[in-house]
Amino acid sequence: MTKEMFLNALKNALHTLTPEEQEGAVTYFDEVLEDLMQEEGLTQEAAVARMDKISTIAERILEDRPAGAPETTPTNDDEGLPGLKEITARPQAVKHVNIRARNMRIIVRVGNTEEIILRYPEENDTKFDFSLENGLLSLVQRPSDILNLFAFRIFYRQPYEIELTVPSDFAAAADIKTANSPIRIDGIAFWGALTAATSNGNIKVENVSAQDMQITTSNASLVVTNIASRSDIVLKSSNGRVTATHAESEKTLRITTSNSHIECAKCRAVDFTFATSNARISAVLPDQMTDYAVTSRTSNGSNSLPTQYDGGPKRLQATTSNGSIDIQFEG
Amino acid sequence: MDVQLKRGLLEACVLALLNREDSYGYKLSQDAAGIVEISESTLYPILKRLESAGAVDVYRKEYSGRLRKYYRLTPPGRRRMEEFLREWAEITKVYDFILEESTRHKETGKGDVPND
Repeated sequence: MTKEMFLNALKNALHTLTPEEQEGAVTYFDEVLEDLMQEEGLTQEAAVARMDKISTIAERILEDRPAGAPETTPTNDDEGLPGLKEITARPQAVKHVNIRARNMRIIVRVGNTEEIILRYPEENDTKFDFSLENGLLSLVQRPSDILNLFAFRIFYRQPYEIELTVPSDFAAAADIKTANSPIRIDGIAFWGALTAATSNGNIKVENVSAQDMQITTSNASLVVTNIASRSDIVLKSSNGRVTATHAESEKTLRITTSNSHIECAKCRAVDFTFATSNARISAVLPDQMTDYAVTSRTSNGSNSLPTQYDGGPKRLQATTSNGSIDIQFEG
Repeated sequence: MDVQLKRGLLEACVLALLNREDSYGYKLSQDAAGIVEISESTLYPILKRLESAGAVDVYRKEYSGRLRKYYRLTPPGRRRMEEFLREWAEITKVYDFILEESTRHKETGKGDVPND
């Protein structure tokens, strides 16, 4: 039997399956036969003879079709926008969200209490691995396949964006990361820690609470408004301005950047750390200066604080260079 | 060998082979041959299943003028393999029990076993 006869017969034996499934099997056995001929120098007929009977192959494929729906159901491409995937999960099934993307904006917003919805684009050169196992909902973008010569970007599509909607009271931690794109998080109380990181894209976090908060970007601004943490809040940029308003931590509020301003108003913490370079630090802090152990340093700029002051029990550290420090106290 | 048991074994075996390096259908069956007999008709459904479970992903790479389909182990796939090893510890326990009990009956003779 020639290869072509074998593959045609296989396709016929699988006629009850979808064309896609038939094609998948035919392609697979086509490749195996090609490899056999190439690597063992077999003729078509000899390679085909090494295969199981077609009825056996078809039987094994048919009996192995997936039965029973999984906990989550990625909808097919033929629903909704082309190339847009949507995954729905029960909030109880998720204790941790992990998103790893690049060149793609990430938006986390409030949805309803019954479900978590994750929408992400998927097409030729943008593929993700999705999983939900042991409470970990994970969406990881695959590295681009440079060798795939047929990959081309579709420009008329919607902007690249991952959207996650969760209950406003969300009993989970979140760790989200992208690059070259902004991140927006609005209106969510996370029970666990929140880590958000990007580069070359700004971050805006509003009305959010979490156990621990670590928010990082570079070459772009970072704005937080009305955020709270039972533990530390760490805001970090470089070459980008950081603005914190109504940020409340029961421990440390640490803001660092470089070549750009730090502004902090109506914030609460036991330990404030502000560090930048070549730019100004301005803040209005609660209580009086005598409530703080102060360390401050700048060069080539005015400083409203003493360089060393042993107040207490709170701590305040402010360092910059080539910029002024203007920190006032509410008390 | 029991079908279900063999299926689970082969699945873990494929994951372990992919943990070594990305591979393709023909090579996987060749590499597995030294350990367990696995024909392409058995291998294909296993790869399909692993793919749809997100345990492996697939990419195509040019090889002597054609695009060959390669399989790559994903982090969930690696976890699945590790899970298999953990489960195996339990299976070993059951195996030991069966072994022990079956030898005991042999020693004490057939008198203890009721006749059907």
